Amino acid sequence: MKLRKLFPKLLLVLVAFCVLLFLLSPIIAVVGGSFNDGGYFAFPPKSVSLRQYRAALTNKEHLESLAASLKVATYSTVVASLLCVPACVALAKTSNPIVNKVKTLFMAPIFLPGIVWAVGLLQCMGFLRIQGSLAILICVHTVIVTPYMIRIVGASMDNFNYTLEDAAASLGAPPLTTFFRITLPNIMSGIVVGMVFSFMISFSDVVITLFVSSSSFTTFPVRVYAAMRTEGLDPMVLAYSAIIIVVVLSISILGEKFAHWSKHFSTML
Amino acid sequence: MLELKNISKSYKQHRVLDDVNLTVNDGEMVALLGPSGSGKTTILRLIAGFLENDSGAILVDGVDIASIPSYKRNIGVVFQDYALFPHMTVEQNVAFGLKMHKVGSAEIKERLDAALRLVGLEDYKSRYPSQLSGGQQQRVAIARVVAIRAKVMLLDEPLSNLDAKLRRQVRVELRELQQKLDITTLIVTHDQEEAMTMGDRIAILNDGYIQQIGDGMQLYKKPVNRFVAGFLGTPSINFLPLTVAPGIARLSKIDIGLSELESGLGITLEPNEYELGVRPEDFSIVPDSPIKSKVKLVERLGAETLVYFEIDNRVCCCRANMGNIPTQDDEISLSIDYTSTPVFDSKSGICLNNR
Amino acid sequence: MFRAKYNKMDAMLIPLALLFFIFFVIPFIMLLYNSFLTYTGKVEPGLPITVQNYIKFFKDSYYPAVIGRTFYISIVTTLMVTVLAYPLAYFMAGIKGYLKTIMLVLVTLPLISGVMVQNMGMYGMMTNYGTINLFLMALHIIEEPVQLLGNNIAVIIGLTQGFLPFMILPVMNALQAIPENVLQASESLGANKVRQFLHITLPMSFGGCIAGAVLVFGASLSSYTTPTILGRGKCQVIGTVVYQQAMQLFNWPFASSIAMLLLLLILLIVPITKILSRRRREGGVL
Repeated sequence: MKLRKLFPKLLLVLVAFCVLLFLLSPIIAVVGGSFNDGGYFAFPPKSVSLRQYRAALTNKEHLESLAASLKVATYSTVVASLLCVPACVALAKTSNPIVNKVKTLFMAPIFLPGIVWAVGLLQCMGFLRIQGSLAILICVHTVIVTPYMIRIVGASMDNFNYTLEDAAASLGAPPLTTFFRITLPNIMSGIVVGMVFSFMISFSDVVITLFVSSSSFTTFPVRVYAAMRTEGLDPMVLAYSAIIIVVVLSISILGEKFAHWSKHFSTML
Repeated sequence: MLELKNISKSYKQHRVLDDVNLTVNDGEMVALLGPSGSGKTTILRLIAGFLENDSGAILVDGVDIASIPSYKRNIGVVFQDYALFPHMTVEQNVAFGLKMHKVGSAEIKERLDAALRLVGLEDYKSRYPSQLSGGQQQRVAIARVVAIRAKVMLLDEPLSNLDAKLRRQVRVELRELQQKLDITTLIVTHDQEEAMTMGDRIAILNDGYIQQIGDGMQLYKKPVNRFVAGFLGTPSINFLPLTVAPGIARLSKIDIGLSELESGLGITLEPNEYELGVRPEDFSIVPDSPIKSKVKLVERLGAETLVYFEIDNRVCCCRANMGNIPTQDDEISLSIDYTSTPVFDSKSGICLNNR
Repeated sequence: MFRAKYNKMDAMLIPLALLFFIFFVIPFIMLLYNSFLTYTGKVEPGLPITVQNYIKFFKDSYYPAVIGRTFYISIVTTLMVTVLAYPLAYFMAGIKGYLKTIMLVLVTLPLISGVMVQNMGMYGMMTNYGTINLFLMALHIIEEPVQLLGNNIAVIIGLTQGFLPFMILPVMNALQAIPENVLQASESLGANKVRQFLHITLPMSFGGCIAGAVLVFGASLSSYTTPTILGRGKCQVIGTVVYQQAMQLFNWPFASSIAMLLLLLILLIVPITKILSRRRREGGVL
């Protein structure tokens, strides 16, 4: 009797575990494979060493593209938050129905296929004879991350109690002071989560950057992608990826613990 | 002194306030009482400056503040949900207004301590609002207003977020505090008991009109119209249709003496349709009278007993004398004390014998 | 005065709107325009204006086959994702505390560590001496390494893995939104666990499944990196053809017209799913 009750539960746990294993298998393979001592991919590793890490940390080209990626992600995140926070305030307070249509536009990069947009961008740049540069990539990545920023910051604006602004005004605070001392501190966690998200989204983008970047300026995922497409998998790249995974994992643990950010993820999907 | 003169306000096509006039004297507490949707919160938001009036003037000590932005008005508001800043401690919440008014740091400390002492929260300085009970949060909200020495205090349904028992206690405390501070106060509420116990005067609002202003007993005893009579009092007043023809008065199809009625009401009634408002205590159960009915329900509430009966298919309620309580299905006769009943024109609802 | 204040607020949208206009709206306009231009052999497309690019797409038997393959891959991926994600989402909806936090972190990890890392791991495992072949050989299921990369199956597996979180999170949310007392009510009315699942849980989580399916299907249709890496050039889908035409053959008008067709397909999905979920709400059978 007890077994009959327990069996479906055990089956569920088993199936769930298998799916989770499948979902995480590439990550496990990348992290595990990064410790392999040899010029090829092997997971489980044949013999363990830090050879890939040593090679990775001395490869100038990869480090340069990694630096470019970090730059693009940082700048686009900062620009996006500077543009999106005021936009979210305006969206939250507007009584103008046309303005709400603009919100749909800001969300569009999530829903419209990136490759279609990328081809359009490529042709615009070709038409104007512009090469992909840091500035162009920052602008494009700002557009990529805007929907995430708008959703997350917008959600924390929705949760904000606007009576607090009235209270501040009744206590003598002018509108701008009210925004910086009352509104901003209360939506700050949303902004931070949005920024971290934006950074990751920008950092890992391949498709659009592939079309926009030039041979003289490209990001890390695009360089890795290009190499993998033509030459196969260079095990040195695994070391970088493993580091990225560890960083992402620690940030997600902190994010989940302090900001429940899977909730933000769910609102986005 | 706070004066509202001919205030009107519309949202889109809808008229929310129509020619509102109201004066709150120095140190007085006026309760603005009305059902939800009557426009009372709109009045409060207009005074605080969160909304702008379409026409009329809002005067504080004789100066029209209607064109001054809210943050320069120096009007303290205690919000329904208290609106404490969740990211600030009690101390920071109270000091916020002082900083905004550019008060020096030594004086901030002094006024902060004084305000917190007044509401009895000296020991809670470094707590966050989430660590306080509802009553304590409300006191912080009041301390915030006290600290900035607001000219006028507005209370928006201040007791509605407290449980019933606490509400009675806070009601008394709030009233004492207001009297001690001697601050001109307007309290918005939908609870008549709250208005009756706290307000020096009560303004009754309905459909954007101020129906009547006066002290509680005056409103209860001498309502100007049917709405005020019906709105105040629990159980509510019984309205009975009254038809007057030459020499005859019929109350709910029962013949009663016209001259007796007129002398009680103190006015002469032209032949017409009226409504008589009978408070539950104005009925008395007597051995014999033309008004007869059968008891439907008896409610024993301890201090008083309510008897429900029907007159011409209208359920009425009366407060029974302690000695003379009927039981269910008893046949009873009732008399009415016409000297204290208001009579209303059945069309306009205006009270005719309001002396 | 207050109305004026709000209009001033609306102005704070202008910088972002301007950025979107230049870098998002104009590219789509450019795309539409170029899709009607003529390929000149050089990078710059030229006049006359023509619909040849669209006609070419449907005339040549190669491209409809690409569309067919893309649809096949997308449909199978969506079904696989739904079947695999549901039990995990069901499990996650029923847990609390630390275990839940850990699960949420793990499920979102592939999403935020990026498609490149996922493809890299999948690629590594699927090579001739990769994890899967070694595993199968160790079990003596196969004696020689099997070619796993470079076919539709590899791409489907890669896409399924990458898009699983898109389904897990909405389904989990839908399942969590089912009020406890609805389940208790059904139990008190005599429904056993199986009936309860079929008649209450499954229909009430249908919205989450649809939401997830739209995301997965749309993303699969426009996928590009995974088919390239795991397909090794042998699995041409709409995305890879667009890339080829734009970046390798420099036939921008043709690339634009294919991209426009893809956009049209994606835009068609939304109303279809709306009709689906409406019919569901009205109690119609799917």
